[in-house]
Amino acid sequence: MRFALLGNPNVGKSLIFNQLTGLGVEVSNYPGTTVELHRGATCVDREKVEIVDLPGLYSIDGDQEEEALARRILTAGDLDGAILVLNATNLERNLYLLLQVAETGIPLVVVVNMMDEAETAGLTLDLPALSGILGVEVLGTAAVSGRNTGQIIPVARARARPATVTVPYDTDIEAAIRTLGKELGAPRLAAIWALDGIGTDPVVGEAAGDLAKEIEGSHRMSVHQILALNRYTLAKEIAGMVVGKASARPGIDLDRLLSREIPGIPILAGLLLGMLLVVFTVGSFLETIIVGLFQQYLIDPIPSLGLPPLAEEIVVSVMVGLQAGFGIALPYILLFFLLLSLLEDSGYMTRAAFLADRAMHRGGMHGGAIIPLVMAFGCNVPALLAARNLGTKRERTIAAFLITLVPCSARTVIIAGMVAAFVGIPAALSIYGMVLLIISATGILLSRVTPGKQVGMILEVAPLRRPKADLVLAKSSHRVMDFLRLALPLLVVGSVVLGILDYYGILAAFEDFLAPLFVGILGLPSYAVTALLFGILRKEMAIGTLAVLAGTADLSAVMTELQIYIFAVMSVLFVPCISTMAVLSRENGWKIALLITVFTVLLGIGIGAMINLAFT
Amino acid sequence: MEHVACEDLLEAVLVLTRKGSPPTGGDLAAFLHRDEVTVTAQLGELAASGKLEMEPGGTVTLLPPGQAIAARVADRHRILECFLAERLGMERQAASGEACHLEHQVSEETIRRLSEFLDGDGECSVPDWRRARDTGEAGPRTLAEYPEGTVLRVAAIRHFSRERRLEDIGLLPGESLTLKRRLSNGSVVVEVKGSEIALSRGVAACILVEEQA
Repeated sequence: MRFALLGNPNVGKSLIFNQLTGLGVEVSNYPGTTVELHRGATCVDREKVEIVDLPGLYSIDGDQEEEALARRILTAGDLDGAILVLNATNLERNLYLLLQVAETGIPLVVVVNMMDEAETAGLTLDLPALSGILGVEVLGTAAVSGRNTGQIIPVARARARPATVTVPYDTDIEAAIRTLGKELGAPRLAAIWALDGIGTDPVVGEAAGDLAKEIEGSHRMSVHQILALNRYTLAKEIAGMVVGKASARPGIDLDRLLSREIPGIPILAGLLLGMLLVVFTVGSFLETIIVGLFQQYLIDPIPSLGLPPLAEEIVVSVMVGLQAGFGIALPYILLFFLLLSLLEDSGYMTRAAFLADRAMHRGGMHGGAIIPLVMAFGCNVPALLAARNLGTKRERTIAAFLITLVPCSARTVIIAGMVAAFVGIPAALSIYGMVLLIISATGILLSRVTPGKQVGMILEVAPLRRPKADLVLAKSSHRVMDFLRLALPLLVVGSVVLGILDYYGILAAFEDFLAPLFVGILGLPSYAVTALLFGILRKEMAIGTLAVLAGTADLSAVMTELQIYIFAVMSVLFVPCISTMAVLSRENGWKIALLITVFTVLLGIGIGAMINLAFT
Repeated sequence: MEHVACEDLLEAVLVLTRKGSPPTGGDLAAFLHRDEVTVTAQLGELAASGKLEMEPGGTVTLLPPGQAIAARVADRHRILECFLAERLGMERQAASGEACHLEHQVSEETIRRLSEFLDGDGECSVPDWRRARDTGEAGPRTLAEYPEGTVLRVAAIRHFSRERRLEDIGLLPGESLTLKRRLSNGSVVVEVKGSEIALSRGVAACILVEEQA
């Protein structure tokens, strides 16, 4: 059997999903969309029950991608029912979604979650009455403590049925529904969706369009507004019959601190900076250990195996690829997602987005983009993964461009290890300044040229809650596995390809080919080409490779200060590392990934050449 | 002289004066694409009715009655151009040309409503933008005009087809809301139907509210 799990955002849906399915969750993008669906299964009475977890929704009638997807899934006919999760503390708003879902005629089970919070808030809910009004089974649960969640699947299997409640629409709307039914044979649901402009049948859609125009003319409201008003009127009425009076909400109001400019913005800045520092320091500490362990136990012993030279090259390359993958995944990505999940689950994230909204607008994004952008200083990969939460494709595209420009900790190693060490601290800081300028300019430019409309933020401010350790851990480790699955094969293949090219001397030929560009325009020694290429595997490998090729770690002995500076600028700007590109092409499509790669290569060479010209 | 030509001429004097120094008859003729003889004659008429003054050097300056007319027409031009270009998406040049025609015919009420419609969006890039609306007038306002903690009623939502999410979340005409937070940059948090919703400045500006009786 197969059930969809749906509900508003922040109703504890993912917690319920985890409890229903346990292990073995499969995450995939629904074909042709960027919407992420979680599927999980469990066994009840020797029967497999599959649960499809839809993203949090306020409505299935909207024009967002996930809303359209929900409509498709609910009406596709391959579900045995839907489990609808409502928030007991906010029944009216949640009933709005329920009334829409009820219209689809899918068999339903209603779960009223957060009963514990409702009780704390002094609310009483008459669930049998709700069940009577809706005509479906209603279960009261508190997923945080696991209360009653075990009942959900048995009840869904045995007693899911279509709801009997129907929304009485405005007389003109009802008349239009009847007309569409009589003249074109459109069922009620199809007629409503067509009037709302979201139908799938073009013939019905055209007729409905004319009717809708008439209705909008006489009501001076959009059909969507009228439908929403009608549904909310009924939702309010039902909530009134079910929910007992609330006493005043107790407790301290932390929002007096968090969502004001003062001290909210300093708190936000402090938190972001703190997170960055933790990811940065703890991350690079762990990375050194992991990379060192790989080196000591897996890479350095290889020559003693006495393999034939080509085989040895390949084995070393495979290990170097794995080393790069684990060196990024465990320290940076796991750490970052632990912190990010804490922020998300505590509800602070929405406050951060609110405070940063205006500033982010200048770059064509909204407040939510601040987190990925700041986190990109730690590592671009989790930043790109976090950017998928941004609302529109336009925002995700802009964010992807900017994130890949942010100097991550690996690039900071280059800036610190080369420029600060051999040229000077002011020169190192000037690279940061230059990159920040480039990022701002790119953001302003992209907000002008990227297709799509600028969308304002309409974001529910989640209530502040204590995050649950197990959920935070589960979420983070899932992300890390996701990254490893995606990037490890690419890293290994990339590393092997580079190794083989090097072995057959093709890399040297390539170096000669590019020598005029590097020596002539950029003023760099020709072996810098190879160093930059290896930097694609893991950015800070550029320094190591350079030192090997130059024959000394004291780069100032073989390169001028200007050459060191230009090399650092080039490797900071040019081409994100393979892991970043892999995530980019999955999250934003290969076209965007290619565009960003070309953009950054041109940017790196252009700026490097400009510096060389200006100082020689 | 018909009032269209008169208004255009006064507006041209204002625009050119703001750009640099007081214009001459020749400047005005070139700016308006009319011949200089006609313009000089019209300037004489306007000078006679006390709307402007001809200086000895051949330059023209506006007198208070002329200044008032010119400013009103220029304001209308700006509002119309802004609406046509930034709300309806017309080419800037075409919008400006169209505004030149409309500015003479459009009623006070249309201009006031258009101005309200555009106001607060913060996205109008027509320079020297000013509010044409009388201050102290009753009726719906945007959220930006109320202090935090006010209980308000949604009077109307502008560009109603643009933000379905607003409706789905329960922000509908007639709904009551509490303004929980208002930042100086225009972003707000409102409590509606039992949950708090953060809105960008542009979105907040779409919501017209009234104080609850």
